Amino acid sequence: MSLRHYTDAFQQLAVQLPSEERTAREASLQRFTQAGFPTRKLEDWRYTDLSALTDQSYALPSPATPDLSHLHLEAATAQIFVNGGDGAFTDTGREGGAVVALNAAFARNGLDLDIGPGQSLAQPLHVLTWTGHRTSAMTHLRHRIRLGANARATVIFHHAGEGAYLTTQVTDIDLGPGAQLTLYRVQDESAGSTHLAQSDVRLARDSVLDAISIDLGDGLARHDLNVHLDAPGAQAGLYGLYAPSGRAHVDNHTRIHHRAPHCGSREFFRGVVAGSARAVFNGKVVVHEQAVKTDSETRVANLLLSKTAEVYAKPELEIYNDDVKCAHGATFGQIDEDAVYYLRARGLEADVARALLTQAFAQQVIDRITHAPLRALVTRRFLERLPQGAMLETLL
Amino acid sequence: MSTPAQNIQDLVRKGEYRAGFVTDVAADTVPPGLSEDTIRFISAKKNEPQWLLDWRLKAFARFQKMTEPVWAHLHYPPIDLQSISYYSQPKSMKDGPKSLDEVDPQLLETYKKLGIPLKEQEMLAGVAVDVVFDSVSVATTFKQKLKDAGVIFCPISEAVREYPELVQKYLGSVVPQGDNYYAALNSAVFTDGSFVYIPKGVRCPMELSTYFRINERNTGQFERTLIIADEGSHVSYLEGCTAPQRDENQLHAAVVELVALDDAQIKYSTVQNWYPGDENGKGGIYNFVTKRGDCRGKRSKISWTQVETGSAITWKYPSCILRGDDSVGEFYSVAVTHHRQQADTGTKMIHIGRNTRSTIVSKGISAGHGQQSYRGLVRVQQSAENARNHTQCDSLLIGDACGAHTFPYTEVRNPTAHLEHEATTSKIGEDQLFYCLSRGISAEDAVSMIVNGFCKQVFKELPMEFAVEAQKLLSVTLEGAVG
Amino acid sequence: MNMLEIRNLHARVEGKDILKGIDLTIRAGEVHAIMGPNGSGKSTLSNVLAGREDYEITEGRVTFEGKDLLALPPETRACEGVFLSFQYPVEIPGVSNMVFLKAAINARRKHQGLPEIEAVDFLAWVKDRVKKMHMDIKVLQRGVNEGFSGGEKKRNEILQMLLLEPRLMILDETDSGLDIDALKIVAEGINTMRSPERATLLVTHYQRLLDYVKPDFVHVLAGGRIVKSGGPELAQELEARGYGWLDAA
Repeated sequence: MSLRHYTDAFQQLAVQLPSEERTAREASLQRFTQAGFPTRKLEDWRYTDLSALTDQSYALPSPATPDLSHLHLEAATAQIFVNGGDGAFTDTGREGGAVVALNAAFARNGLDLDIGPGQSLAQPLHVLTWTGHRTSAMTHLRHRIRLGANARATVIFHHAGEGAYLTTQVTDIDLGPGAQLTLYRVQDESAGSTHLAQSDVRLARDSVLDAISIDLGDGLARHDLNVHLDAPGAQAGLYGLYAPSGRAHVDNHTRIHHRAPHCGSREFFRGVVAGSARAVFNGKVVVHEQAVKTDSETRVANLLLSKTAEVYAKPELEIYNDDVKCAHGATFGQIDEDAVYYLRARGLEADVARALLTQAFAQQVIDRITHAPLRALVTRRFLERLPQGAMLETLL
Repeated sequence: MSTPAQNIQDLVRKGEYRAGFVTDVAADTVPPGLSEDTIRFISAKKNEPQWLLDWRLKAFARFQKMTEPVWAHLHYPPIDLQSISYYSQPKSMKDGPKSLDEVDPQLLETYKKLGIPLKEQEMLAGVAVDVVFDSVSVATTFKQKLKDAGVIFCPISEAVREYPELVQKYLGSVVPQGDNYYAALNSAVFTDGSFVYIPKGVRCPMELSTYFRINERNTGQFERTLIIADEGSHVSYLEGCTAPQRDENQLHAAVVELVALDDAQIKYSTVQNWYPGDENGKGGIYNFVTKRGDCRGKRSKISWTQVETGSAITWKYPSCILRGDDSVGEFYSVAVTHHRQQADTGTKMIHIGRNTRSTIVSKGISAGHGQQSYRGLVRVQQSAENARNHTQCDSLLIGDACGAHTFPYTEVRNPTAHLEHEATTSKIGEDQLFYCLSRGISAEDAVSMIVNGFCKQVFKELPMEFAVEAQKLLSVTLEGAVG
Repeated sequence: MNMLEIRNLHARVEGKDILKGIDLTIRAGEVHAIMGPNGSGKSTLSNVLAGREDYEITEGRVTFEGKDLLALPPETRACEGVFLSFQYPVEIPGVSNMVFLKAAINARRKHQGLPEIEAVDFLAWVKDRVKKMHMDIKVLQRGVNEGFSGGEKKRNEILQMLLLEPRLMILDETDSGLDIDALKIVAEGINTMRSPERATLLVTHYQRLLDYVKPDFVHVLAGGRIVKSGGPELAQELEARGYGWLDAA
């Protein structure tokens, strides 16, 4: 195993750092090199193999000024991080696996949002990360969101780029009592990319998280979303659409920890998998001993569009007390041929009918997006990737 | 006044294991230890041909390179395989299996106590029984009647001698020697078990059944069962298991292989009631079992039904490889974990052939400090056009100290697949319970009724006599855990 | 000119012969009713005409306005003016009625070489027809048939028919599951579409709908064949005597 390129890159970075930060980051780097990139031998990485990254060489990024107008979002305040941005290197140390350790060694500060008690963000924040470079580069960002009691915010993470690169994004979110966060994540990275992300959300009493995750990227993407329902009355809704095609590989791992009474969680993911793409969904709900009156439901449905597409789904329940109501369901199937016939009997061509039904299947997640410009952007990007999708665009 | 919930807790605490007695019989037991010599000893004891000894040794070589699996949701101290005796037989069985008339009366008495009469006049009508006591088969009933139908039903050690070509052809063809740690161990040291062959077109005239009993202290039981259903044949096979109540844990690591050729059907039912340990988790059987059926032929069908009430630890995933086009796999399971019992059980359905269908119904009941996991895999390979699976997986929780977990893996590589997985977990319905109580039904009966209702879908898959037995067993376990 | 000509039509589904030689001619302006007991092949006939692919045509031919209907895919038949009101309309969650109707209308217009319909005109037009069917305007934003009652689904079928203005209307058991008020609304919808240029094929088990939509011809389908044809009085007779007497005849 050789992680030489990473340690070399770190040496280049280290010279720019003040000594105490350097020491902390060296410790993170060491944790990373000791663990190495996860392999399929680990249960959590059973379907996603990162060992190929071991010998990859990614350079530290350099500044760029790409035209990002096509990624502009109306009715939102933009915060843009091109090639990792120019944030400070002050955030160090954090528990976590190899990916988090790698991030902790290299990351610049990304979004740092702090909303005071009772305050609301005037309009959604559009956090756009973009990576692109002449040679393969890597970017690492560390984001933080803190909402005080009864504060409200909508944050849109939007990840895109060009060419071959590695990016890691680690996000920590704390919701105060009664706070409400709507968190969007649109992963639209390039075909040559590897996108590794982890988000941890802690919820205080009666706080509400709505997390909507859209994976449209063409590269390898993995997102670990860990939700901690730490106090009574907290509610989390996790929604997701993954639509990989070509040779894309998308892996969503969610963990919802119920640690307090009277918390609720809902999880609703849909997959539309085309080409030779692979999709992985692992949704785990853990109900700890003290979390009585837990109400939890997970649903994942998958549509396979091609003979070479693959889906691996595992909705899990781990329950350590008896006063709960938990359910999960998973389905895999094709487009309903009765519906195709119905549409054809009304004059729609067969492939348009199939595209419309595929779009409708995805729409049930897309409709969760209440921010209209974002919903339009996601719809457009989804249709662009769908065979016959262009024909639908005029329809919708 | 006690609440229904408290009543349940009280019931759960009682607990009683009715098969926990020891038969005081003189036995030949080899000293503990696992080595090539142990294997040579077993093989010699069974008068085995050289090929089988070589097969065992090969398995042992594989085993030595393997490590114990740790992925299961189970917690137990490491098992010292060197402290186990790998062979034990009653002294009276020294000269090999005898006719029923010559079997040691003490052994016959043991089975009678367990509800398995072996004497000709008392035999269960319509059920042929092979009884395995520690490492040897004691007796097989109705042998002649089956022989007349062309059915072979005998201890596997006998089959090795009498039908070597069948054994050699199929042994290890479903569960290869190196399949997993415990299967490799079993392949090296297996002692006895049943062998069944149903010839072409034959519908087996009676239920076949094997009753496994662990008796001797510090022994492990490593049985091996092989069932082959030739083209167009049908067989229904049942197994039961019990062991004495002891403070130490005993290891049971079995391998069961089923082969169904074109249009053949095998129905395999288990009522597993190994000693579960006491309420503090002392003693009990470690049940590490590999069961797999190969639907090798077109339109073949393999159906697993299991009622798992015993064992301190259960690790078992009766599976179906749906290789033949239009083949069908089924798995129906009721598992109870009570006191400190732990179970990690479920199934694997591997869809390879076209139009293959599978059904999974799993009902888990956790009480006391029991921890139970359903672990299942449904895999649809690229070749499996039009595969169908339906999985229903429900857990019932009784008491606030138990746990129920669900780990269903689904892997789909063909777009024509249609799969549905549904799982629910909830506590026993207080409303239902209260309703019963308000109609004058005792808490015990009410819980028993509700739990039996919860399991009905599985019980109806069992042959009649077993269904009744299973319901009683469930009630006893839950008297120890439910009504 | 004959609008629809069915000659010696045989069809089978899942290896079972259902239609065993149907002959039927329908001219523009006519209303035909096909009646028959359950399992006689009524729905099979409707679906064969609409182009469902599960059915295998083993013999015979069907021409629609001189074209070989059986050679056309379902969508082309629809664009040519064949409309099937489904016995069991499917629910399509996620596709709103509005999107669906626009898609269907524009598909037909494209087929006719017409430009896409103007959004404003379309909306006004749709709203008018929705009102005619006594439906709630909100229905347009809901998924196609999603969560509709049986009666709502049938009304939605007729709404589509009003908007698509087909040449041949095939109504498969449209009266089943309707209460009397809904039946009247549906019948009114069908009647407004009656014209010398259009033809109607009512497929029904009961005579009830025929009280409101008067047929010119009634045919009895049994065992995959038309065993009797006549005028409206035949429907009355069937209502009074059931289908049993036909076996004896």
